[in-house]
Amino acid sequence: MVDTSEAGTVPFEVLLQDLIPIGHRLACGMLHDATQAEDAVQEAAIKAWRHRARLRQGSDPRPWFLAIVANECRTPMRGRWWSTLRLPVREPSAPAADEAVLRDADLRRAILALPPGARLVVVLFFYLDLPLEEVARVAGLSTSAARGRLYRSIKRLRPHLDPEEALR
Amino acid sequence: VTLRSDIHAALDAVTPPAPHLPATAVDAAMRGEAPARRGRRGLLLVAVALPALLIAGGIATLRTASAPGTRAPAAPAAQPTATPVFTTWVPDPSITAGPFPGYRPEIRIDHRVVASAHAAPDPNGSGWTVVVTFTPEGRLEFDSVSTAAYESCSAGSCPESHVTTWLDLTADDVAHWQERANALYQPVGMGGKLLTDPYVQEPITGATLIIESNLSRSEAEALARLISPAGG
Repeated sequence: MVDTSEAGTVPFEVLLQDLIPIGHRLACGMLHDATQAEDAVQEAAIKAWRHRARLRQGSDPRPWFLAIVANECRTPMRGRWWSTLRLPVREPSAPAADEAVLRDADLRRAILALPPGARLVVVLFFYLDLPLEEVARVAGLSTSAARGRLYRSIKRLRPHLDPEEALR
Repeated sequence: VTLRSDIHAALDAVTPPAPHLPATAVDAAMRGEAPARRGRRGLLLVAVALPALLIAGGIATLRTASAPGTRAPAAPAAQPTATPVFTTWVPDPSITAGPFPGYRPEIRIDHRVVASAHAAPDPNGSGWTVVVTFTPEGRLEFDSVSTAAYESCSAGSCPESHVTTWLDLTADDVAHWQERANALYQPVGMGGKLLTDPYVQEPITGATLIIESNLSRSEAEALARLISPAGG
């Protein structure tokens, strides 16, 4: 049996394979750990396959799959013994004088400190470059609620930045 | 420099290329099973070589020991510095929050069933493990809980197949699960009460449980201190 979607023309496994890279980017952005991210994407792929019948024909599979990945990203965050204790984020070693590297590390720490829901919309909007409407669908929010969550997240990440400007 | 470009630069550094992932993940999905993960080879070999009984979830893995613990149990008189609590998941249609909408945790076993906990080198890998020894009563309870969880799903994982370990989860938390789920279902180190949430692959019938992961020695010792009735 061949599972199809999007008007029944594309086999589901092909569709899924195309979605893995963006799912991996989401997982890495959420977890900041390559091993956890791969695990999350693999689990998401398994769940997507099991529940492929829930994907309505003709609907966009990307937000559907990214929502599964986002949910799986909560699992490794909550489910691993070492993550409960390894409080400092292990940053790649870098020259101490490299200001850009230090700035990136600070920003990663700030993103990791966001609540998971806020982190999700930040990663979807600013890292995956998804439109706000799709961010909202993945996060299970209305567009205005997603916008509000992004607004608050921006204020936490960059208190002096005008969120309206950042959202443009 | 915009916030967007800054975030791209920061997160690109933690997003390594994974060209193998589309093929391996889809292949595993079509087979209906999780592929072997990094660091789990030793565990998988153990599963084949020994009559070890496994429950696993992600990298965090609990397994029963093939023999009783090698250390004498600590005296269970003192209180642990934190109380480990084991729960299963039961249907509750009123729940819409948390990892399993439609389910709430049910406390099944608490710290009184733990006789001792200590860190030990993983004989099958390079990391460290935490060895938890149950009291005779705890052994029976864990056997019962894990068997029920094992038999709850026809295949793979469903909420009823999870045996979840928490620190200091209370009956009040469970009673207010709808309001507290998202906060509590976070790792202890991130402000929640969750330790691990594996699903049961085989019933746990031994008196000793080994918690495996890629733990460092200090991480394993810290966990053992948290769980130990002697408080470390």
